[in-house]
Amino acid sequence: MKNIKRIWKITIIAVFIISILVFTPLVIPKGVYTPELFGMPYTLWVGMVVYFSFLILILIGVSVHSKIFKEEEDD
Amino acid sequence: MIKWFWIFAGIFIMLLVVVSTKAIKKNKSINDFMLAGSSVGALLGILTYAAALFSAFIFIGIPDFFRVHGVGAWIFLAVADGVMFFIIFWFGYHLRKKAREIGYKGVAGMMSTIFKTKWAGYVVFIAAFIFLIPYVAIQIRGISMFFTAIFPNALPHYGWAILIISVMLIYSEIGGLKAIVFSDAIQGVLLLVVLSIIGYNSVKYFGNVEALFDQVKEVDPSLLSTPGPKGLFTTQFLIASFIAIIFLPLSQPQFSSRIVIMKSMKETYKMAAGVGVVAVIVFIATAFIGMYGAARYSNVSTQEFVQNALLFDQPDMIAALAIVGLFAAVLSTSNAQIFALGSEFRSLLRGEDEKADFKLTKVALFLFAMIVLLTSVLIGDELVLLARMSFAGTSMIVPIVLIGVISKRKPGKEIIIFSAMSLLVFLLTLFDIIPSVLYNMRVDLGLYIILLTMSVVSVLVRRTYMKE
Repeated sequence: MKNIKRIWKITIIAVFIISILVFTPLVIPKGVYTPELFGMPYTLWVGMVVYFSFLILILIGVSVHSKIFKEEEDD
Repeated sequence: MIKWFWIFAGIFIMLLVVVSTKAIKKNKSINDFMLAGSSVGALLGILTYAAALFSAFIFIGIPDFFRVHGVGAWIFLAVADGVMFFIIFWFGYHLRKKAREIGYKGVAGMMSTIFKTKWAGYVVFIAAFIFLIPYVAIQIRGISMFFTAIFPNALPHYGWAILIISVMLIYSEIGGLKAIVFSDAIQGVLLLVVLSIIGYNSVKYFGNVEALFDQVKEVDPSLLSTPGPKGLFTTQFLIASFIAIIFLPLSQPQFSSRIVIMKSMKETYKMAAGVGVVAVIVFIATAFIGMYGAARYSNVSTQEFVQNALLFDQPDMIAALAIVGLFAAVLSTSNAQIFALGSEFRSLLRGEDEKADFKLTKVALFLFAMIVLLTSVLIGDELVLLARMSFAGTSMIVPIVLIGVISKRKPGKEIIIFSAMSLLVFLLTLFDIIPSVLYNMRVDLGLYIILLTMSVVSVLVRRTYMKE
C-alpha cells in the first residue's frame, strides 16, 4: 500500500510539472515551428506528446487511486 | 446528398424514438427521471460525457479555431482536457462520496446543504444560468444558420432553432436524463465516426500530413506556432483558458451530474480513461480539418469554411452524415445544459413536496429552453470565444464546489463572497465596465490567483481556529 500511495503522489506531481512546462518556451516557443516531426510543427507534436503523457498518467492514476480508496467505497 | 440525408435523418429520429421509449419504461421514480436512476455504465458514461463536452463547439468551432489561430488551439483545448480527464476521477471520487453522505439533486442544492446557507446554491445557480444560456444559444444559432445556408428554401434560421428546441424539449420532458444519456450515446458515436472520416479525408486531399503542413506554411507560417496570426494564444490566455477548462467537472453542472449518475466508482474510473482515449481521436481529426481549412479556405467566413470542409468537399454519404451529426450534436449539448439547469433549479427547492417540485422543474425546463431560443436569435457569432467565456465565467464558482466537496469541516461563508465578487468582476469585464487587462495581466487570470490565495487562507485560518 505504501508503494501505491507513493505512485499516486508521483503521478500527481508529474501532472503538475508537465502542466507548468506546457506554458514555457519548451512547448510554446514564440514564432518557432521547428524541429518538425512527420511534417507537423513543433508545438503541435510536442502538444500531442504532452496529451499522450497525460493519458498514460490518467491510466496509472485510475489504477492506483482505485486501490488506495477501495476500502472507503461502498458502491 | 439529399437522399442520404433523409435516410440518416430517418434512422436518427427512429433511434431517438426508441431510446425515449426505453427511457420512459425505465423511469419509475422522480430520481430515475432527473438522475437516470444513477445507474449509468462505463460505455454509456463515456459517450454521454463526450457528447456533452464535444458538441457543435467541437464540430464547427474548433476546426475553425485551428484554421484562424493555428496550432496553438491544440494547447488551448487538448492539453487542458488531458488534465480535466484526470480531475474527473479524482474529484469524482470526492463528489460521489459527498453525494452518498448528504444526497444529491444538483450541485447548487448540495452546496446550500454543505455551507448551511442558500446563498452558496444561489451563486452556483446564477453562474450556471448566466454562462450556460449564451453558450447553448450560440451553438443553436451556429447550427441554425448552417442549416439555413444548406437548405435555403426550407426554414429561416429561427425556424431551425425552434425545431431543435422543440425536439429537445419533447424527448427530455418525456424521457428525462435517461433519454438524454441515450441520445448522447448516439451523438457520441456519430461525432466520432464523422470527424474521423473527415479528418482522414482532409489529410488525404494533400497526400500526407507533411504535404498538408507544407501548404499551410505557404499560406501563413504564423499558423504553425503560438501566439498565431492574430496573437490570440499568448501565455496568459492559454493559462487562463487552461484553468477554466480543467475545472469543468466542478464548474458546469452537466458534467458534475454525469459523474454522479455513474453506477459505481469503478465505472467512473473507466469513464474518465475512456473519454481521454475518445478525445484524442476527436482532437487530431479537428486539428487536421482546421489545417485543411487554413490551406484551402484561409480567407473565407466560418460558415463558408464549414460548409466546404464538412459538406461540399466530402462524398455525398459523409456530407449527409455530417448534417445529421451536427443536428445531433447541437441537440445533445443543448439538452445536457438545459436539463442541468433544470436539475440545479430543482435542487434549490425546499423538497417538502417532491411532486410539486418536479412539476415546477418541468415548467422551469420549458422556460430555460424559451430563454435559450430567444438568446439564439439575438446573440453574436463567435462560437469558441463564447464557449471560453462560458468556461471562464462558471469557473469562478470552483472554490465553492471544490472546498465544499473536499473539506471535512463546514467551509467558511467568505468563500461564497470571494466567488460571487469574482463572478461580478468577470461579468463587468465582459461589459467593458472594467478593462479585461489590468497592469499587463488578464483580469480572469488575476481573479484565479486571488481566488486561490483567499481560498487557501480561508481553509488554513479555519483549520487553525477549529483546532483551538
